[in-house]
Amino acid sequence: MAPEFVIAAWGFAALLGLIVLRAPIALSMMLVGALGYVQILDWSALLNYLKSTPYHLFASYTLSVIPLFILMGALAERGGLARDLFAAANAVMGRRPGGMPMAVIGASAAFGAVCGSSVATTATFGRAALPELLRFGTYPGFATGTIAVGGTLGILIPPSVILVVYAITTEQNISKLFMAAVLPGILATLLYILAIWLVVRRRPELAPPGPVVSGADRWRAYRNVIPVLLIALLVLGGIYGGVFTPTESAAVGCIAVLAVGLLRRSLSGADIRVALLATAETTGMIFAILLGAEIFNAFLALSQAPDLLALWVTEQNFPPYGVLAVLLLTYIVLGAVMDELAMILLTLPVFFPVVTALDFGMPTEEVAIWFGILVLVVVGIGLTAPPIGLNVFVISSIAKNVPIAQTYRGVLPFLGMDVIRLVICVVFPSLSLWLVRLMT
Amino acid sequence: MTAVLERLARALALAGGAVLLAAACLTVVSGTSRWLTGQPVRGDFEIISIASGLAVLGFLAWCTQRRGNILVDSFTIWLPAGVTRVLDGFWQLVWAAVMGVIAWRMTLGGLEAMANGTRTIGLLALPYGWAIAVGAACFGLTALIALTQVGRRADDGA
Repeated sequence: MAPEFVIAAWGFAALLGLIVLRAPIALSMMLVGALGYVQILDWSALLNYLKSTPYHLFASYTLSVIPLFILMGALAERGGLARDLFAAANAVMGRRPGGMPMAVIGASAAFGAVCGSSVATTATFGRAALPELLRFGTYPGFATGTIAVGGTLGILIPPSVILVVYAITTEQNISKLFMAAVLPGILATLLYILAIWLVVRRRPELAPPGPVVSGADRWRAYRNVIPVLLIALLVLGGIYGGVFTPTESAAVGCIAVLAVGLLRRSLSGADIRVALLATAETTGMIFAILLGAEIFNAFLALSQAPDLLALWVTEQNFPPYGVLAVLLLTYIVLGAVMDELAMILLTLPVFFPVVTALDFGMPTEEVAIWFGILVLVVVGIGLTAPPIGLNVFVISSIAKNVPIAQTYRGVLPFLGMDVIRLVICVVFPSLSLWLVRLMT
Repeated sequence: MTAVLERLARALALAGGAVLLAAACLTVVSGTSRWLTGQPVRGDFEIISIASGLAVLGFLAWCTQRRGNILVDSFTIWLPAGVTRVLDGFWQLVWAAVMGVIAWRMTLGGLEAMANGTRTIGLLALPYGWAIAVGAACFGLTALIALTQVGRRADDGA
């Protein structure tokens, strides 16, 4: 093996070893990256590198979109927007069998348009919808499973923190990736609703009908969601129309959610404090991993292994779709045992050059965007699939009396739909690329 | 001492959040002004970059205190609780050391940038050595907070 591969392979092995030993992922990447850096260059180079790199990484205009989107989601979470969305969705479909879980999916999808995080979406609906579902007799595991799956719509429907990270790591256009995610996100929503319909048709006792909402209440419920829908339209429409940069749209969204919450008095000073602290915790976690990835990737780039691997793969004349299938399967396996954000940060420096070097009969930029959407789909699967599904953990921490195994069983029918959607997205790249092509 | 540090971390996180909100307001004002008059706020990109950078740096200590760093526990779930606690304590120490090293290097980086009068590239050409120095302090506090977490169980801090 070429020496470049040997050192990169050692790096990855050491990284996995540390992760297995419970070292925080950010720390593992920092340690291995730093040692690799020293191995290839020397200590003084590393010490110099650390003088300003962390600052420049954090103080970047492009990355400022991440804390802003997280803050927007945190404010929306506290401001009762999710409750309004769920009430309206319930007024539309709650009366029929399976209607309440369907309403959760519909409301989660709409919430996903103002929130870029799946954890926040899951937690929000765990509080806003779960008690209602249980009150009307939805089987607990089915209710928690639906909310965990609905939570993935937080990232599948743009804005999406995962897509921002993908865009930054691979130097792609955030706005285009967001647009590419719209149709697959809607497809996900429809397939999830279809999954509920199929499950409930066979076992109606899992999700009995919800409350019948009378005329006046129904109109009130519809009226209450107008602000949220307008904010979603503003955020996405602004990006789509090229009026806003992603950072601007996140800032506009933040201020709009804050204004709506203050005007309707659903956001108190204490709520804002809680939202700020929650934002601090999530953002700190993400940026710690970003800093770790920055250091680890500096080492990988120095080793030149990713470029050589990409070259090697193209020289072998492997069938492009075969390579793609291997990469996506790797993601599904990794996603089952690892944190999804860390997973894409670790793998993209290696996988991305390989994928974009293959010939799919499309321009490289389109391959890059399409692959971003595929990564997003597999990340969504990893968030709910056993044994490590972050969303399932989140809902379990809220619904402490529902055994986690029951939630995983509730998730299963949706995972089938996820696989179908992944295949559709692979076979029909234009599902992702159509809006992007219209936009440019 | 621990209580003081923790209060500091919380205050810093809230201050970071306030700076982030201010940056969001500035972005909205600048966008509106660009839309209405064709003129954005002068140097909005530079101000927002520095503001969001400072905000995120301010979040680090709080995140460490809340045990926000993601780790994978699927492989060590079978170990006795005492062993995992020792492992966690050890990694907290290493985390403190790494944060400390970054704080040390950024202090030097900040001092150099101030001595050289390094400025942002853009309309305002703002000096930013001070911001690196503030960042160094944030990493330093994160290191101290990590030390206070050694030996504590993850749920103690919550």
